[in-house]
Amino acid sequence: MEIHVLVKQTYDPNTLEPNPKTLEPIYERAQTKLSDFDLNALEEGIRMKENFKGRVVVISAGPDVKPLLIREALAMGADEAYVVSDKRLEHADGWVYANVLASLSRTVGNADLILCGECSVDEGGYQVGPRVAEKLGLPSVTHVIRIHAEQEGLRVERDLEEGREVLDVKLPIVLTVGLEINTPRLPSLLMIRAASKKPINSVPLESLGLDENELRPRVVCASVRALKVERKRVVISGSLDEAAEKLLSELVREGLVRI
Amino acid sequence: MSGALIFTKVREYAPEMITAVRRAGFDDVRLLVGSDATSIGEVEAYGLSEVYLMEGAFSNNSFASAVVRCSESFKPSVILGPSTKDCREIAARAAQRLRVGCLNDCVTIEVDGPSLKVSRTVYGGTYVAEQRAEFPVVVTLRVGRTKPEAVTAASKPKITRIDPEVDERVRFVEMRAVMKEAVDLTKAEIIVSVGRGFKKKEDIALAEELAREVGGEVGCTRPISGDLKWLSEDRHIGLSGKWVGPKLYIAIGVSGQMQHVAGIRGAKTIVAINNDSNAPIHRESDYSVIADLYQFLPVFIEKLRKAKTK
Ligand SMILES: Cc1cc2nc3c(=O)[nH]c(=O)nc-3n(C[C@H](O)[C@H](O)[C@H](O)COP(=O)(O)OP(=O)(O)OC[C@H]3O[C@@H](n4cnc5c(N)ncnc54)[C@H](O)[C@@H]3O)c2cc1C
Repeated sequence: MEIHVLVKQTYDPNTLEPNPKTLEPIYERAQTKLSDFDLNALEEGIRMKENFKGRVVVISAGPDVKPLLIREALAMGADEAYVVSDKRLEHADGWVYANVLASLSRTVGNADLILCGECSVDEGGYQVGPRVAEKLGLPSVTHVIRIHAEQEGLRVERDLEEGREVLDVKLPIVLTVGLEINTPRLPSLLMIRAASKKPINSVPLESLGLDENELRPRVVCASVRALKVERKRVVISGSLDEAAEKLLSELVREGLVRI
Repeated sequence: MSGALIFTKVREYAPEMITAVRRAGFDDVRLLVGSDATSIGEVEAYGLSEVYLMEGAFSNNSFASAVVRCSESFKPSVILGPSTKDCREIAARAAQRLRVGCLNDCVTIEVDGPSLKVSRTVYGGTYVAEQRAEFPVVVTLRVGRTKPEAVTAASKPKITRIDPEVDERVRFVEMRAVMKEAVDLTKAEIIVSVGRGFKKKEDIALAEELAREVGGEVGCTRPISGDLKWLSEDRHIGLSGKWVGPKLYIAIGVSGQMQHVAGIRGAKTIVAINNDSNAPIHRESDYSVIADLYQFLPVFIEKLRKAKTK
């Protein structure tokens, strides 16, 4: 089985501090990582490979993709990686990323299964997976929490607002997953060492045959500001009895608790 | 700017979505809905010029095709649906086919010249971004934020039936019910929230007792519902769960990781009870009690009871 996993390098929101005056994020001081749900997608792809043979290819695109992060993905058990790292993707939106990733996947070969996170931790756009499917003329299923291989194709379960939906799907297909599907493995030292020999193929953006329109973002980001809520931050001290008394009287005084 | 096409698989979301685009200034509003004609009367009052009905069973892929077909004949400026898991997928597929922008999970929408300006949360709910896309654009809007408003003297919309495209590649098997307790935390005035500081499932009784005394509902962090399954999924608060806005939020044994805090920013007052003075939740709280919950809660509940009977 040929499995392609789309992974995105993002800023780690935990390290993205706002400028106290403008509230804009200070990107220069933030750390980068692979987007959370993409690791779940990768874990699922690797498990499929372990059960049914085949290979797992990591597919990634961005303005400045760090090889170190791609090595992390390879260390988890992927076989090789294809990367488009190009400054022109600085302001790419879902449209542009889907065009680039779909073309890159097609360049690598015809995948039986394409997996990716249901959304990225930075943009939270919930669109790259289904857009890639549309571009490749494939069906998609989002928010998958379980995948079983069947005689012909897969049986997948989705976690929806109204319940758990069960679908039978044929390959090739694009599936998006979230936290619920698995716990991504932490690569051992041995796997990390083995990963240094796995190929990371860098692909020039030009070679994908995309036209200007396909590389023109539809969405423009005008501003990004920290969502700050000022809190009182009163620490209630004293013995258990005193603290309970103080807290209760504050809540009653503010009309939050009725006695 | 021309009209707006509302798409939703589930009819219940139609009134608030129609109201949202009317408020943004759209007069010609049409609806594509996955239901039959019998239940359409209820949405007519919100002001529609045409309703496209798609009956029967269909996949998201084929619903997206219907969105594309309706858009190609109607040529709307905005194509908008509720931000549900199904509709976000439909939005993305339709946008790709129409070669246009897609803005999922918007908090607000506003017309700005030849484009739509929206606000959305990014970076795990810690930042808000203002984004813009030229018409036509496909959007999904968070549900439960727009109060539906009927229009006076709404005329009868034209009804057009749409045949679902058959897609053999994705076959529906069944919809299984999940454990739910019919609680809607987004409407709760007071929430008592349970985190990993609780050592055993039985201990949640302490939080439930407090919730009863203050007239609130019990909520929880993701590990409590997702990993441990001590409480049902509809009580899970945060980025990947419910976004709540109660008057009072009491976080007990909750560390206050960014993904949890994202969901409680709308709370008026936050109280934290946590024995670690370095826990991030204290920086996000109005009142902090640095204490062991097992020691503090019984004392607090007792005081509350006494105060009430006095
Ligand atoms: C992509 C993504 C999405 C996520 N979405 C969500 C989400 O929507 N909602 C969510 O909640 N989480 C979410 N998480 C998980 C989140 O990062 C945290 O892991 C989670 O919120 C921590 O839950 P907790 O506070 O209950 O547990 P912990 O972080 O383990 O904190 C337990 C706290 O209890 C305190 N404590 C321990 N014993 C006692 C005691 N006896 N008395 C008082 N205090 C005590 C400790 O000091 C600690 O601060 C998400 C994670 C990811 C990666």
